[in-house]
Amino acid sequence: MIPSRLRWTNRNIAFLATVAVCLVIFGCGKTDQAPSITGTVTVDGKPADGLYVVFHDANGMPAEALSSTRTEAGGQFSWTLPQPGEYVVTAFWPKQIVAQEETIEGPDLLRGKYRQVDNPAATVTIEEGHNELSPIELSR
Amino acid sequence: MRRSPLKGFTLVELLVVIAIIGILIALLLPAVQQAREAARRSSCINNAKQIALAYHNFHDTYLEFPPARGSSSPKYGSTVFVLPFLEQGNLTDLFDRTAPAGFADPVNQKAANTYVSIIRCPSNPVEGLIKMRASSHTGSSYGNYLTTSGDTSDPNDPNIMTGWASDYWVNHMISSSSYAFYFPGADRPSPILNRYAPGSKMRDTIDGLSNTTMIMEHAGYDKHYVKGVGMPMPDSDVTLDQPGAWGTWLGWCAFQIQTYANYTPGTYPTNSSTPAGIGCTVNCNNSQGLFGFHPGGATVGMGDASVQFFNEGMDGKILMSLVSRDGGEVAQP
Repeated sequence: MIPSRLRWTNRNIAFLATVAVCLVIFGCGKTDQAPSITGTVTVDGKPADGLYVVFHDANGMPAEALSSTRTEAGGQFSWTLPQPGEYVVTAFWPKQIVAQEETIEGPDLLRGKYRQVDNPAATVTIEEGHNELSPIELSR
Repeated sequence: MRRSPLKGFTLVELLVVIAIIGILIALLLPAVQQAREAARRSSCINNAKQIALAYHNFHDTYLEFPPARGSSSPKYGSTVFVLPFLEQGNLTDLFDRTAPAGFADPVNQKAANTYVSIIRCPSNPVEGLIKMRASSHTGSSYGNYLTTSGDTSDPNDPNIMTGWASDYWVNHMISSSSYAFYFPGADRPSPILNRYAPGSKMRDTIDGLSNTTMIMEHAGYDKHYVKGVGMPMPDSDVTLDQPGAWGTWLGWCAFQIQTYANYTPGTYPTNSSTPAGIGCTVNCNNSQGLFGFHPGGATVGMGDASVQFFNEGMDGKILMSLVSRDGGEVAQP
């Protein structure tokens, strides 16, 4: 009697383990939906670092800013957006004011040219997974 | 079986009673912890109120507010100006305003290490006395420790100067990038206190004193706290602005109010100062953000000396409207 009961238990354990593994696999599959993006920004043909790239919901009324990132050296940025979809991209490039003990971001070097959603820097469609955006070319 | 002639409880009855008491305690205990935090928060709100009133009393006497960065040369903060109005006249006399290094001068060590409970929020888990450091290069390195005779890179040097970390700061500026997210194309407005110049008056706050922030909780120095990434951050992270020097209570306890992105360990930049961002307004980052250790929000003393609790879900547009004295925005706390 005891060996057969044990076998049953083993089979139950095996079944439960399979269910758990499936849950983990499918559960993890769901969490990774936030799309990642990379791209570059140039101003007058030169890479712009310290430039803010703002992502607005293209279908929103008004087009609300949902997320933003700042370019690093070489004008590159990599970021994660909240969800896939269409985004209107606006940009501003604060002047770096270097004081004795601190660096402060000042007025927009682009003078607000790409800051309004009616005159955006770009419009992009973001899909699930990784997105490599085409270079954003701006002029002063 | 012979029953005992004595009347009493059976074992089962006793066990049931004990189980019920256990359940009641289990129900009550989390609530007790909540009550303790509520008490700490009350104390914290009271401190913010007293400090805001001290600024008002300063204004009554001198007909202007002190600058956010009280004095640049020698360097000391606005706290020194309002100390007499917190009934700390004797401590104010102890502080030598003519010492060349200001708040970080060896002669002012006694004042810097005097415990004044009003600048400490009981919810703050970080032990108070912090080591003074030279200016930091945010993102690349923290400055050396300041000693009574110079500076050192050895954190165990017994001559390192110390001071209490203040939990209540003022704003010397509003982040132009954070403001630009919510008000495209607008010029950066001013916070209630002037940055360096004396002479900011109540009448300059044209947005209304009750709609403009004055004292902000900015706690946790010299540890760096970033929501969603690491709380507190590991020692290798060097993106906290001014970890030791300006964070001591007689120093420039003034920061540039900024909003942040919702960071994850993968997206948090550790090689530069943290960019302004959208998505997180309160309790996001104690580098340049409104930050308290209360569940759900942080305390703020308004310009009319009322105290508000700004909750973590606050919209960035509302926060940016409330920190400015002359932005012309319509916003209620």
